[in-house]
Amino acid sequence: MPGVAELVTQLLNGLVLGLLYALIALGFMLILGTMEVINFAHGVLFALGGYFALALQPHVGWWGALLLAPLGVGLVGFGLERGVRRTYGKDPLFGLLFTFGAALALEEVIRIVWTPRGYTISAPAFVAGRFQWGFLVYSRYRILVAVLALVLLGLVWWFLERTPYGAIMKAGAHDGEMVRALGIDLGRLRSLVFSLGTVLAGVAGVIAAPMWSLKPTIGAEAVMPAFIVVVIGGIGSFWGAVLGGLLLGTVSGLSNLVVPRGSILVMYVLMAVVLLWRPRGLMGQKSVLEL
Amino acid sequence: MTDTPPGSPGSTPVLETRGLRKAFGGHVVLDGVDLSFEPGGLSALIGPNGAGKTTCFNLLTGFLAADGGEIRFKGQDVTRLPPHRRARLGICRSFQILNLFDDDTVLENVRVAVPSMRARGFDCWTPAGAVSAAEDRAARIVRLIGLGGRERVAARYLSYGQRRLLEIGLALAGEPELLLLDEPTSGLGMRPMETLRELVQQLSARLTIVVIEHDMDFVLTLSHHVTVLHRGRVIAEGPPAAIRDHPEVREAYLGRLGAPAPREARG
Amino acid sequence: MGTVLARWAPPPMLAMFALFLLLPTVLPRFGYTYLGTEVMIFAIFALGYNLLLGYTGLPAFGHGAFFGIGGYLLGMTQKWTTGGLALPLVAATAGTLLFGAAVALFVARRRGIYFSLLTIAFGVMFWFMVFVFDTWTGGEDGLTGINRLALLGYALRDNVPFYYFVYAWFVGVTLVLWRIVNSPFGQVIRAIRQSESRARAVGYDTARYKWAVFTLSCGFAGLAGGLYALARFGAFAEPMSLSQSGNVVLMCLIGGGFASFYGPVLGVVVFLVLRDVLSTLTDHWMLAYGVLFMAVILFMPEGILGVVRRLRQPAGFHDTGAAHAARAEEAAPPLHSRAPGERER
Repeated sequence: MPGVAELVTQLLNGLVLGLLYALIALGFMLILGTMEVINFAHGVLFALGGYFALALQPHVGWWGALLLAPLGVGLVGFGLERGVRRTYGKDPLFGLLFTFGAALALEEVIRIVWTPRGYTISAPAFVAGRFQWGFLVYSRYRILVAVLALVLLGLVWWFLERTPYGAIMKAGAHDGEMVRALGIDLGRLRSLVFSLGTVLAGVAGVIAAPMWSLKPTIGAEAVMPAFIVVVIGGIGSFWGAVLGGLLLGTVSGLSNLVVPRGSILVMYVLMAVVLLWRPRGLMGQKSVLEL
Repeated sequence: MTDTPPGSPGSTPVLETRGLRKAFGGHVVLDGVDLSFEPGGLSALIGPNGAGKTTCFNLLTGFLAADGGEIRFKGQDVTRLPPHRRARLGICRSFQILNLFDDDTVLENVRVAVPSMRARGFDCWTPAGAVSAAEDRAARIVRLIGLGGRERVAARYLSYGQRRLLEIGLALAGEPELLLLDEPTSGLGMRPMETLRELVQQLSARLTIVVIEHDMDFVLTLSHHVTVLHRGRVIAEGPPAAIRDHPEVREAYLGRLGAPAPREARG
Repeated sequence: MGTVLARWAPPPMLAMFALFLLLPTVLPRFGYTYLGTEVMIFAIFALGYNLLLGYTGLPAFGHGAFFGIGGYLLGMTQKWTTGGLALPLVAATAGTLLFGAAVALFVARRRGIYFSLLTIAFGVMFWFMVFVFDTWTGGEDGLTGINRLALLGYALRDNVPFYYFVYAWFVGVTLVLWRIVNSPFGQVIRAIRQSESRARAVGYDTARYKWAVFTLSCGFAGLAGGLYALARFGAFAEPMSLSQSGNVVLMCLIGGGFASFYGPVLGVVVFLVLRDVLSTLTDHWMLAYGVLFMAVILFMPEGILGVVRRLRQPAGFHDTGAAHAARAEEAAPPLHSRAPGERER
């Protein structure tokens, strides 16, 4: 029977994980919502964030890496979008397949450049060690992760809800024709959204890197929860992604206590349950993607 | 199929709605619309752009769910029925924006809509061309809409006018009792327009047709009943002549200019 | 006689059958009989899958899972219940069909990307289940010890007899699928791809049809997976991964699954040959593979047979004369405008 301390720790782990999932899923969903492209490469871009940070850290320190690595990933994303844009207007399958091919290629590039071995990145010195509060002992770094994730989520929310760019992005998702008619360059908008989405993945990769060992396959492992979060939360909803991420993180974190090996499976059970109860996800809107 | 002459009073309406409402977000598109169409003949649904006419059709055919009100087809409540069930009951529509099976041939387009084909939709074994009842009916419809000789042409290679006719043919194929045509004359040249006029006149003797139209010539000369929609409400209805001179209708179309009645000729 | 043949097996199909019939005279010289068998197994998978992708327009992205499930069902049936050949294959097909039917209930009402997303999720879910239930599936080691028993006195353990065993299934599946795509059901699913809203407007409950075609495609995947397990003497999780699910999509695309009934077969051939060639050339063939993927999408999305068709047809015309009707007949009609009895181009 797990003790209270253990329970709380796992719960906190789950929340931190959930915030990360929400961050990854949000970037993924921005791309999905605006361009109807399933960005398969999202996971490998997450991994790239970590690898770029690994390469940059010795030169610019942890904070420098936190700033620059995601920009690097955004650049890769920008390049990727130039390829994806040739599939706009066609069957969405093509965009999906393109990013699928890109994911395979990029993962192999990572293997070539950094070899398949696992790397560990250490947390920055000022958050090393544990934080103690009463009976609770928790990793300081994870607290930093949570804080950073919250800040970033807040920034994205502010961008979407309070700036004209965000409004355009949301409009673009609904009515590309109209947006174009208003004189807004749809092509540039899509470039922006795609890059932004990939930057989010990159940032998540940087801050997640010290938590787990860095291997080429973490990308594939990260992309699945992003899918599930979007399905659970509902396509097109900011709070859906946040809620879905938190739900997924806590459920899988807690299930670690009870059923350690099946915790991944629990994610899918959760997804199936949510779908049965709310076919469009918790906060999804009816879209053209269904009848 | 009706034995009462079109528009005669006392017959049960083939279609009626009561208090039909539809809103998108906060924007109310239909605000309590009552419609009633007698069996037989051609009725027109007109109104300025944005009046809610296509939304109305979408509600009638089940492509949109009504927020309020009810729809009755031959007395039966169909408000909650999905589109495919309504089609099978006998409500068939054509679309304002051409909605064809572009890669299929003209014959295949029509054939798939025919009831004798529909009934064996899950038949995985019989060659589709061997369902002779479907083949015959489809061929007849193709000739009826004036595309005889083009059965084997893929729909995407037809001219615009021919595609418009095929659009109607698809709706006809289902043996409807109520045919809803959404701007069937839109963009038509003179020849297809002629074909269409004749077709519609022929059909209106056998079934009930409701047409959304902007072409006033078409409306005023062919229909026996006109309903005018403006800003989500019915502002007038009656025989074409009465509508033409109706002050509120003129205002709706032209603003407060007091100009002569709207009369467009399509060429 | 002409129409009977056209209904069952038009000339290109007969040519294909003849080709595969004769391959074992050539292949063993290069040690490639197994490759030929593999091609036919994946052709069964891809042809069945193309019902969903090319014909109905539903981009399912987790079908590798059903392929894998078929293999495990065959293995489990053979090892723990009856042994033998027939019953395990039936179990593989029927069992996978049932799994497919269950998943289809979730996905049938969706389309486009939402549909793809869900199929991905379910596919990966089954993949994980294999590792979680490893007492049954053998986990990472796989379910080994599957036997190819003798049939009619032929030891299927040998490559060539097994090749012809698979060949029989390949022929059977192709014939059945040809009937399906030319049937009323085939017309309806093609209609759904071209305009689902119109299909509903003319009276079809499209969700039911999508459910049905999804389930059917899973049945074929299960059969192929069972045959594959026989081929490898074991069932493994590897074909169930996300990238393998992507492979079958690429196979259908490369060959021209949207354009032709035979597209998937051609795609399988190209894909497997390329895979063998690339992996001998470099360790990092995954990179070349990913780049190839992207290149096909960008430059040849209609696939080989699609390109062929396009080259043989005059560029978009807009001719209303009756003469045009005659021209349209002799130009290669698309996949979708061919009634049985018309010649395949």
